[in-house]
Amino acid sequence: MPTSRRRQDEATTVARARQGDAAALDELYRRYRDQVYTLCLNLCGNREEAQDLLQETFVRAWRGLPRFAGRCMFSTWVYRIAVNLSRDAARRRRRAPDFVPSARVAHDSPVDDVRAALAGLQHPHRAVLVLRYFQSFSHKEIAECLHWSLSRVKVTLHRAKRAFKDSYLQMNSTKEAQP
Amino acid sequence: MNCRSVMRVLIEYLDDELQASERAAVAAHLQTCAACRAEEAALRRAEGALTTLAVVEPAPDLAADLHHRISALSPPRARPLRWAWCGVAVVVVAVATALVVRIYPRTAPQPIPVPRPVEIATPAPRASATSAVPHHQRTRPTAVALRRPRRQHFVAHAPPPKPVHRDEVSAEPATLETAPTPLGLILLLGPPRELALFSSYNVEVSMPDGTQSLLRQEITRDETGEPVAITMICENIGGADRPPNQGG
Repeated sequence: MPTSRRRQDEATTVARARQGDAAALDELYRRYRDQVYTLCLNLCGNREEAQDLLQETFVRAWRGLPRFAGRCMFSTWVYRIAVNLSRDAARRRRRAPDFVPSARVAHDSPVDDVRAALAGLQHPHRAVLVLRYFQSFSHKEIAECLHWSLSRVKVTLHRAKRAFKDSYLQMNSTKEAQP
Repeated sequence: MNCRSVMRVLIEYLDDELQASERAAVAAHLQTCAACRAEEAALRRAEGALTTLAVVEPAPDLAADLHHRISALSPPRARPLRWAWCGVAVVVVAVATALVVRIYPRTAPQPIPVPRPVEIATPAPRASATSAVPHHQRTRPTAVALRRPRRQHFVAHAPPPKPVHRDEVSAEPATLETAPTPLGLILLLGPPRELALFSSYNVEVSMPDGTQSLLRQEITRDETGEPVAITMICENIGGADRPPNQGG
C-alpha cells in the first residue's frame, strides 16, 4: 500500500478511535502490536519486560489519544511512546545494584546475539539503530519519532554503528573463547 | 588517503554517501591496507547482523490479555476539565483585578510619615579614675541612643487612578485605563499557573504617564497538545501624546 494511502487510512481509523469506536482501536492495536512488541524487545532485550512495555505503550496511547494532534503518523507517535518508556525502564534498571546489560538477554539464536550486543549500548544508540534497521526509518523519520534534529540523528547513528560493531565483535569473541 | 582519514569516512563509504572521487580514493586505499579492510569487513558484518532483526509476535495469551485490558478501559474522550479550569482561572483573575482596582481609589492617600527629630542621648561622662564615687555605685546611662535612620523613605504621590473599565481577558485587546495597582500588576504579569499554561491573552494597559503597553502571552504547543513554551511579551506601543492623568 502506498505511503499516502496508508497515512490516510490510518488517519481515518485514528479519528474513529478518538470518537470512542472500539472496533477502530482494536484495528489499530492489531496493526501495530507486533511491531511495537519487537521494537520494545530490541530496545530492552528481554521478553518479559518487552511484554510489560507493550502493554504500557498501548494503554498510554489509548489514554492519550485525545491529545494526539495528528501532526505525525499514529505509528510514529506510538513508537515514540514505546521508545520513551523503554528509556525510562533502562534508567530504572541501571540503578539496580546487580545490573549486567547483556546478561538479561537469552542467547538462543544469532538474533539474540544482536539483541545482547544492542543491550550493551547506550539507549540513544540502541534507539537509532533499531529504528533505522528494524523499522527501516529514514533519518527524517527517526528525527520525527525521537524529537531530534536531523544532524543529531546522523551523528548519533554514526557513533551507534561503531559502538555496535565493537559490542558485537566483543560478544562473538567472548562466545568463541568459551568452551 | 591515509588510514586515519579512511576510518573517519568508512561508515559513509559503506552507506554510499560519499562523492565519486572520495569513494574511489577510499576504495583504492582499501585494496592496499589490510587493517582498513578488516575494519570494513567488521562494520559490514555488524550491519548485516542488524538487518536480521525480524518481527516477533508476542505470546498469544499476552495479546489476548492486553486486548481485554484495553477494551476494558473507558473510551477516550477529550478532557473538558482542563478548559473548564482555564475558564475558571480567567474569571477569577478578572474578578480579582476588578475588585482590586475598585478598592484602590477609595483608599485615602496616607500622610507621609515624617521622621521626627530624634533626640540622641548623650552618654554619661566617664568617671575619672580620681572620682570619689566608688565603681559599684556609679550609674550607667539608661537611655538607649536612637540612631537617625540612614535611608530616607519617600512616598510617591501618585494621582488617584480613574475608574477602571477592563474588558474580559480575550484574544482581542482590552484597555485598562488606569495605573495598575501592585496586585493588579501581579495578576497581569504573573497570572496563576493554570492561566499561564492554558491561555493566550492580549491586554493593552494605559499607564499614568500616558504611555501604553501591550501585555501579550503566547503558548506554543507540540503535536500532542501539551504546552512546551510560554512567551510573555510587554511592548511599549506608544501613546505618549496622550496627556497624563490630572487627577490631582
